[in-house]
Amino acid sequence: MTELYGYSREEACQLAVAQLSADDAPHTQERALTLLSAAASGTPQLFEWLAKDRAGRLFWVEVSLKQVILDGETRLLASVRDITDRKNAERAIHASHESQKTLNALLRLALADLALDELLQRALALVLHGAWPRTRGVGGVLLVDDEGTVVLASHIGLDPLDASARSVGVAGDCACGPDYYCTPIAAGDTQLGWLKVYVAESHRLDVYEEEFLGAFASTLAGIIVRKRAEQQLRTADEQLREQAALVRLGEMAAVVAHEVKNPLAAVRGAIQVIGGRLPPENRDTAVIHQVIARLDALDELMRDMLLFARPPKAQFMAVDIASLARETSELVSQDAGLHEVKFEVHGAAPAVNADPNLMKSVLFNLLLNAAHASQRAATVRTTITDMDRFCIITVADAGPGIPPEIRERIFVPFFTTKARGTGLGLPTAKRLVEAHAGRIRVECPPGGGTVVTIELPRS
Amino acid sequence: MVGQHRDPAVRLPRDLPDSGVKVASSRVLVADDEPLVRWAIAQTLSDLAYEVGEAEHAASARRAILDAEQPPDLALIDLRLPDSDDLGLAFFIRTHAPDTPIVLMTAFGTPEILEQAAAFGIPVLNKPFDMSELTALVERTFTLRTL
Repeated sequence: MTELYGYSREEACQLAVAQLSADDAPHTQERALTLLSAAASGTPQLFEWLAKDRAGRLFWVEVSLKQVILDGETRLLASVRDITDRKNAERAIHASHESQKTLNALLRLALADLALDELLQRALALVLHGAWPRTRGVGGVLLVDDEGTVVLASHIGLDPLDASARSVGVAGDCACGPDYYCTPIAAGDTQLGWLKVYVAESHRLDVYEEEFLGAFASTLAGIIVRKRAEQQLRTADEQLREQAALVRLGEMAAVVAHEVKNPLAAVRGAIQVIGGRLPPENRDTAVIHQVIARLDALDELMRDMLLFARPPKAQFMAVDIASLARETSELVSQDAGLHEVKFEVHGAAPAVNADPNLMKSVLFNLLLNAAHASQRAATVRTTITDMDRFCIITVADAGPGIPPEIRERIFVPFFTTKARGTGLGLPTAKRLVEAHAGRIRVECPPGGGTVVTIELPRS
Repeated sequence: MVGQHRDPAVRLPRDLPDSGVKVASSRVLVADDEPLVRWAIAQTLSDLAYEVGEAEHAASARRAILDAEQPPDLALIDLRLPDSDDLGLAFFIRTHAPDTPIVLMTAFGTPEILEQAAAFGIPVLNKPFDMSELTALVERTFTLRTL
């Protein structure tokens, strides 16, 4: 031997095996002595060893130990071969195999009929729960939402309320934290988000693991884009079906309305004429009034149905929503059954481009619902606020709120919890608000009551 | 209830006001295929001393216009008749009896037709209606005509 691991023969002879090894289990002095003893007792040894050279660099060697007799003396012959290239090739093959296995599993997931949330969760489990790469089993998928905010779309072992769970490094900078790696999820030039993986303690991802995470994130990007496109198509399809159903309903309503209103007009007119000929003191006069009231209720039902099924084309103009809310509150408060309910209107906003008649119908419905839900002498509070490009209208009552199990159905036409009601009030309000490119939502705060919020674009 | 409140008060014909503006023997043509509607209108207006002629379809209304020595002082016509479902009859009356005011009655008119009627200055009475609405509209039409 002339030199070993960068040491001269003389220097090497002074060193213990531990100093020439990684000295990290199982490549320790103790293990080396066991192997040397075995070889010395006549059993040849062939093993791989993680060695350390003079510069401190770790590298793999293959060691062969066997007894030989030289010049009549029994010696132990050690042959050491640098197998760095072979080990690298093995690691590359292993990494390629593991990587392919996981990517195949991801592609299989993509073919399953899963919602994006569920798919992300399972995809994350593939990376974090596998034997390779070496992670801590903790991580998340962060996605950029429509407003450009980074949200934690899926996670394992993270606290979603902790802002640090949503922190990411600079795009493209994988090692953006001491113990986690953020791999960009990008589709072309569009940054969709990041795959955030917490690695095993003191582990530094090697080039194969980094390459795998990059490939995984790219595949995931393709899947996310496709899933989102599918979702958009599904939503558009649902909207088209809904529109088509509404058009059919509108056509049907027009025919029904005509066929019902014409005879209603005939009966109402005739009964009114007959009633008018009775002497005022005749006991049947009151009955005639009742018959006409019933016919008017039928007519009102037809008008409700028409307003929902075939709303008139909006005639847009500048509308002061606060004034309209006051006017409508006054109208609702005239209802004989609601005289104990107090109506308040607060706030103001710049004029909104809207159809005053349609918006009045919307407010009328909401106020009437709120008043019906309220206790006697309760207050129905309408608040108008100006926010960015929107006029926000809230109608709040102090009633019992809406049970969670029926909250999703309140905008479904003909769904009602009232003993007498068409179930068209809220669906009509929604349809008319949407005709203004606005949005409507209903919430029941923990403190009780119901709050209906309308976001109406100002122009 | 979705729409706005209707005035719950119902007035029977004997309660209807008589403005006194109407000229005696003013003639009204009612075109509607529903006999009860024609009857109710005829009875109500007759009680107010109008002379009412009836037509059950557009053809008979046209004939009434063409055959009359004097055109009617008012035409109350239903939008949808067995032989007409547009403003054709209204335009016919405008052409052959240009001084005859027209009131359109409808159980349900498309927004386009109602807009068209408004553009031609033809008032619309939505069915079903209270007879007081009818008489108010008729009286107003005559008031405008005599001014």
